[in-house]
Amino acid sequence: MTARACIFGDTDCGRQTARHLLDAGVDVLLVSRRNPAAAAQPAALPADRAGFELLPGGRLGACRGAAGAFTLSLESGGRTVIRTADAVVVAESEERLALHPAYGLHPSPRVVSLSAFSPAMLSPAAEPAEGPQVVFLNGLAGESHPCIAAETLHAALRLRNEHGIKAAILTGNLKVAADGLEALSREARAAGVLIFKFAAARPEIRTEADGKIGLNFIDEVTGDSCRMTPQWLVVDEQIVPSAAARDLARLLSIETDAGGFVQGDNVHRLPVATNRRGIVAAGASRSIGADPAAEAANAVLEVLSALDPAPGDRAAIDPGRCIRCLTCLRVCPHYAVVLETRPVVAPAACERCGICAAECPRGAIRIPGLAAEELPAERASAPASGKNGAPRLTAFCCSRSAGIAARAAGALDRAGLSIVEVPCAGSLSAEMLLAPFARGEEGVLVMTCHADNCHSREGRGFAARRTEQAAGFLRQCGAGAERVKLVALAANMGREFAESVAEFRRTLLTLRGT
Amino acid sequence: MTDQRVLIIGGGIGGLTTALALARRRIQVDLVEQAAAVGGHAVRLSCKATGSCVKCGACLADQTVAAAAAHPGIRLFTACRAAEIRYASGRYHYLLAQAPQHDRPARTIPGEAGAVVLASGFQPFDPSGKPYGYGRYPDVVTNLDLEGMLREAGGVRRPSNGAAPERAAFIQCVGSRDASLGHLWCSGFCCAAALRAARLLKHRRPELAITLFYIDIQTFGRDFESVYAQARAEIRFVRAIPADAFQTEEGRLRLSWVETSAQGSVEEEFDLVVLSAGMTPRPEIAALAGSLGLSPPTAGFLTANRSPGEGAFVVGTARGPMGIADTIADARRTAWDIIRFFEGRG
Amino acid sequence: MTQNTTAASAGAPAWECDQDLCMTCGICASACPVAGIDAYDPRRLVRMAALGRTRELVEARWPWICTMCGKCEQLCPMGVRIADMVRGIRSLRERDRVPGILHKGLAAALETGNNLRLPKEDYLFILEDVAGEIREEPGFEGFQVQIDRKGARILTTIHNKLVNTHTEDLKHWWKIFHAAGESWTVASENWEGTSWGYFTGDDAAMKVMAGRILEQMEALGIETLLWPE
Repeated sequence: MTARACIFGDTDCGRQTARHLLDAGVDVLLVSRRNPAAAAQPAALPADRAGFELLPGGRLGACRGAAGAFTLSLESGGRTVIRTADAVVVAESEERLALHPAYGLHPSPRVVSLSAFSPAMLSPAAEPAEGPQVVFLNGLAGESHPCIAAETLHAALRLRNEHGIKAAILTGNLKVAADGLEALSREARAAGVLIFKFAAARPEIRTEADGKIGLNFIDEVTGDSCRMTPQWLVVDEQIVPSAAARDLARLLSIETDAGGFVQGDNVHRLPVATNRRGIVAAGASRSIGADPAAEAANAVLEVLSALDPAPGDRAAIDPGRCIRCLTCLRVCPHYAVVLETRPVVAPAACERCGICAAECPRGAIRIPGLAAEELPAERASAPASGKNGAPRLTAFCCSRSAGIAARAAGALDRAGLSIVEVPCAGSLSAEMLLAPFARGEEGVLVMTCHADNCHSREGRGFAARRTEQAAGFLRQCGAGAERVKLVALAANMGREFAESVAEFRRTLLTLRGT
Repeated sequence: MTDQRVLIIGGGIGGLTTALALARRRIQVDLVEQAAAVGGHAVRLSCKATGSCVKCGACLADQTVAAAAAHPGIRLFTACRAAEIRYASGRYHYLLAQAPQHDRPARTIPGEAGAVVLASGFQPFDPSGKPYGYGRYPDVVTNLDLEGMLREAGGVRRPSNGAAPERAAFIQCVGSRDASLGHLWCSGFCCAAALRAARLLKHRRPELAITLFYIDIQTFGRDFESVYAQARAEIRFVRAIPADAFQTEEGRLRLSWVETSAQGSVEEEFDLVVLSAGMTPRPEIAALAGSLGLSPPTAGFLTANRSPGEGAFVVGTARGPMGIADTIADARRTAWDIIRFFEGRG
Repeated sequence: MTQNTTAASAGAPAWECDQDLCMTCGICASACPVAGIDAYDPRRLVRMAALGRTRELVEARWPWICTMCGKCEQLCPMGVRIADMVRGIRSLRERDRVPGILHKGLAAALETGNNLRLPKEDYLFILEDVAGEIREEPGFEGFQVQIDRKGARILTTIHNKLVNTHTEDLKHWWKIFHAAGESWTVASENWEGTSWGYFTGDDAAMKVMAGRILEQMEALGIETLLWPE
């Protein structure tokens, strides 16, 4: 059966993604908010291709299911269309917010936003003036972006070169961290575009009743008071995700970042993954100024990998033991548990983090290879410690972070140490944390990612809570709560891994004396 | 398609990510790295987490190295270089020369691939020629040196005497944004790296006073606005670049600057100076590009990311300054371009 | 050059005042040995020039603070010719409004060959006097001052200070020549080694001063010039 991807967003990136997916043998449903979907795009619609379907004037109403079996309820022209898809691509456009309000300005024919401004507006030819006739505001109301800087510099340069009009740019940090921008800014300055930078104070901007514009500021270079009375004031814009992208993030339960961009800022989602397997964020919905072709290529690879059966067994819920409490449904960070007549795991969406299994109050969820008794342990070669020997301890390590660090821990003394890698520290139940003590070991380390770095979002939080539980139990039995300890380590912290183990050994030796 | 093979030159995060993306689509990869280990500059970076993750992406490098080393479809040749690459009838015929390793003598490995990826990365700017005393004053270090120091046991110490620094300075844009050097580019990564490193230093030792000398803070997007606001509360930002550094008789480093004309010249002493050295092109890429039929570099970097009609591709910082996130996206994009190239789609 | 004209030809600035390549990194000001004195700041000068505030710069006192050391220009990452701009600005000022000592000294040099209007006999007396002092020092008993010596290897100019208030410095130079066995000479006329024409942006005056030194070198058959200003 041919797989199908649903792409939201009739954008350049969306169309390129569609073409590549069709080439790769994946059917495509392209949902466009526009009707007809006719706006000019650099890439043409693959309308004539077999396996391609366009839903114009459409939007997502609801989404059920998970990777490999999404059910999408789409609204189009007053009716509801139900479609299934194996994967979803969010490729919506960006939106621009003119920053007039942030500067206390109102839009007017002479106080325009950057994308509304065009040198053609300046006819009839600008009246001769002393200072700059056009002033651009850039990054003085919040930090700007190289995209905006590039547009501003281009516009000012064109004014100077093609129309002989003096322009000035009033900026905070001039963002030139993009290909060719430093050279462009030099070209603009060489052409006579004046750039005034502000570190702390901001220019005072007034518009008079007769439409005249006045800017007063202290030039931080000369220290002198300056007054400019340009005929046009061009206000910069903030690039934000479109309403469509924000709606999709909400309806698809996708994390967003501080600016509302789809994908969020967990580094493990880079480049185009999201917190849900099978849902991909590409182009302007996830990032400002991303190259549509590069984003499309990344999106296709991500979709194809989501369609591939991932190695390893997935979580399975034992129907006989399940009491339908839906804990698994609530805790799964990957939305891999779907509710049919009872909760079931969508195998293509499961990331084997094991959080559901650890949280299930009935122990009804099993992930082959991940049960306490099956855990692969790199057993210490040293003999069991005697009265004065090294303490025996187990370090449970998240395989994405501490597990990698453990392998790079050059100076690690492995005597008495068992390293147990788990896909996510969130998979550790309190029972698993206490098991080493039943074998006569003296301590347990729970080694996780840093907060906000967890691939399974809250895995670290779950691990922290269970470490607390285990510590509480040890305290109650008088064994010492310090025998179980949570440590956050990144994959590149091999030295810190060895140090943490050494320090914990010292703690355990101290506890022997008490 | 399963018999296709790609040669990747360079085992930094760009080359490794390309290799993994190709191998996961069942394309064989030979990757050559001239250093003794893969990982490039990115594996030297320190995690900058201050309690919680600050999104520096340094951990991704180690994860990528681990995944690439474990993938059966990737052959990693370290301490190795592509001694010869010949393009004939649509194939690249190559000879890899591997230096002797602890467990085996020097050897040459012949091979053949349908595509070659140039992922040779960047050269960190060497600030020895700048009047900051780098290489002469032990407490003047580069951003990459600091990354190593952050990973050392016991925290960051002054190289001169092992003491914890009391006053540290970061000087941005050393070797970047410099037309006189022909470096008319912003290196992009250094502002964010300096801010994160400075905040980590502050987090570890709140009494450390940090001054950051800058032209324009270049970071943007994501959660930067709030990070910047927090940083401004912890770190002194000075919009001026000191011209030089002098070591005092007590072994401290004297910097002077003029923030605004009205305030006049300011002179202060620091005991650690971090130079944010930028990215420069590697000297050998012009020759490599020539041998692969790629357009010659402009301003040192290879701006065209592939050879027209042939199977040579360029990935990552060989194309120009970019950070870890952009390098990963560029690498996967190139992997997809190669897959399409093999399918005869361009 | 008459008193009330400027040094610049036709009053045109000697730099492109309509552009500001400066990205305000401030390295120039950090490097400048006189930054902050009289609020002197190279960035400020470059910016005001770009803003077309030439008249203000020409009238202002602070552009004359610059010592023309050129460190700013050498370190500027954008290649802004700051020292040239300073000279350009200075060239635009009426000559009789050039700061007193510079103006008078240069006028004297043009007229008499040195900034001090020091008569030749007085000058020669001072040289011999200094030479006499050197001979009193152990190891320099045979010292002779070399004046207008044809075929010497080095012609050295003399900054007027060195025959006025700083004769000690003259001794240092000469003792080095003597100890090194150098073949050297000083001129009896037009010996002035200051660049006040350069310093005040007066290229024509600079040309006269430099031309005189060249003439000396040609007349004495000397190929190497030492100009220790």
